[in-house]
Amino acid sequence: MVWPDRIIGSLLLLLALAYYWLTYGIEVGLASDLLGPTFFPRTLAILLVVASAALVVRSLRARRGEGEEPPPAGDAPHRLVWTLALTVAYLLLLPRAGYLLLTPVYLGAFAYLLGYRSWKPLVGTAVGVTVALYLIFGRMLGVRLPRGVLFD
Amino acid sequence: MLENFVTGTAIALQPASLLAMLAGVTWGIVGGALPGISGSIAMALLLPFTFGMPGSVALMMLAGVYIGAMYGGSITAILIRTPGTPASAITVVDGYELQKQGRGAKALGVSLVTGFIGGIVSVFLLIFVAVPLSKVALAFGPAEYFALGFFGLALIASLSGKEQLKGLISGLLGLLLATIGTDPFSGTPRFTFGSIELIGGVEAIVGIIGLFAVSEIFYQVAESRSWEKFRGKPTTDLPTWGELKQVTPAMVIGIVMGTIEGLLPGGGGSIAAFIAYNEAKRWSKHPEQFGKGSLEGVAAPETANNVVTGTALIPLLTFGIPGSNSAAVLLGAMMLHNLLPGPMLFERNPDVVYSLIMSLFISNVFMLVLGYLILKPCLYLVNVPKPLLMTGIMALVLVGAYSVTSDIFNVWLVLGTGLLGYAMRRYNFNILAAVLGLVLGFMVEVNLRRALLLSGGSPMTFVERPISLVLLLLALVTLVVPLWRRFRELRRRAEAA
Repeated sequence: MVWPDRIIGSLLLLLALAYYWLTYGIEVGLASDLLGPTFFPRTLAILLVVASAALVVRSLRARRGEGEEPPPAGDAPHRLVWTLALTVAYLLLLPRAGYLLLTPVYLGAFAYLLGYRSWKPLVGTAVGVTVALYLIFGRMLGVRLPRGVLFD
Repeated sequence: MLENFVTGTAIALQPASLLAMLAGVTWGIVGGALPGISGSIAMALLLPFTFGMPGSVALMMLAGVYIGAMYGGSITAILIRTPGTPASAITVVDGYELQKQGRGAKALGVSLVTGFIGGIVSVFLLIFVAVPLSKVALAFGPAEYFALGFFGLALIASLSGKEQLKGLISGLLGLLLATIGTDPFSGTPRFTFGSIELIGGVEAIVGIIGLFAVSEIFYQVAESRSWEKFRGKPTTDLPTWGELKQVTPAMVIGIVMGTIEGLLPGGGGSIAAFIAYNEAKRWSKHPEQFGKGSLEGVAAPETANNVVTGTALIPLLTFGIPGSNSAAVLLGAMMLHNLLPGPMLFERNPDVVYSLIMSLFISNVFMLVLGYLILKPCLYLVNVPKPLLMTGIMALVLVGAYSVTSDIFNVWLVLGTGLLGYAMRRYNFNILAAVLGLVLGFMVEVNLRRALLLSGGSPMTFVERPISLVLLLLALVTLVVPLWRRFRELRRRAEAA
């Protein structure tokens, strides 16, 4: 756990600095309280700078093989990448295509991506889940799911 | 006092409440049985459904999920050697051994009955500890609430993970997320990058679903292997009086360990079950049978993890400090329904607190009955191929996040926080601390500033007020002690070298 910590610590350090810098963009009104809107975020940023610097230092000083082992990663990390790509595409298309039209396609593709190949249950699940959630959220709970240009 | 219990019982017995508990326990058993869905994830998945409900009903339902999941986890642990929840991980050892010997039905029965007994005992513990405790802690002003939030965060960040430094960073990341959106005091937007959607901030519920549930989906997606299928006819064989007597010492150990671990921050059902198993083995008259199909080896952990469902509520309800993931989801639900956690909760919302407590009795009875009745449909779902199951859960997560404000933006957020949670798990960070930072961040900052407003700007108010002082000192001790230990360890190592 030496290498990842070094990189993660550095990234967190950058994040903390950027976050601190962003606090200068916050408008402090005249009628503000004593601490104002920037005090709390800046304190957090400073603490994160210290903590992430400590993480980097610790990983620099640690010997190889030291520290806790993380839980094992899965054997198919590429699936995660594809899942993300697929979901991003789904969310980008959703406002135009609409929930009822696009969701079965997305869910079917997702199940296929996870290695499922029996067509009938795959289509059944994709359509069934879409309709079930539509009935629960769209009808019973009154959520306005994206309708898409076709149904508008 | 007594009238609070009467009111609470009356609320818990309303048809809507009973229905919510029934649904909660059912989903808890099913979700708990499904590998990959732990109690806290099952609860997080249900959060979007609780929006339109009164706070009391929402909490009763979620507590029902918590209770049901503790039994559900043992079903798959015993029958297919895959713990449905981490809390039942140790049940596999003797549970599956019994199943191999053809006594799986008996193992299920013992798990169900001892879990039920543990659950009922824990509600009494909750009543006898939490209710008097709530009388002690009153007079909470902004200074005390700030100190309390700070203490809770320090406690979880330093004690619940393996690595304290990463726990602290995780808590800070959660707090950072909480500062996004409109400043609660001055109304100016912060870190919104000009986006309208971010003005409302990162909804705690979206963060909870993302960090707990979506990160787990990502973990499952990256793993192509699946759990085994269950073949055969599932039945539950309730233990006889003789068998129950035989496992009584194990149950007592389970109750003790469940009580201790429920009260401690960062404990939770999985650690309680693990320790209870080891202790039961040590004190047993037949330790040689452990690992070879001992009923005690099932009774001890399954009593312990059900005891935690009640005792974990003690620090949550009296101090607003959740010791486990599931309690953190309950805390999130409380905030969602505008219930300010902390010692004043008993004063301000006695109806909610007492109906929740009384509902635990009913939910435990539901668990006992439903655990017996829905075993078959439960295993039917476990046998659904993993890709299809993940497809369903993914859809539920996305639509659930969307439903929070009817906005795709929250779906992006749930995806982002899911990825963050995945990375945090992958590199040993502490998801619970991050969730807590996100849920409590608002309360901590607002009360810090409000306290200073009341004191006319003097920071001495945090030290002059005794309760605040004690809490801040405790927080300091929590943060410094592990550091001190580590320092000593380093020095010892340096001396040895």
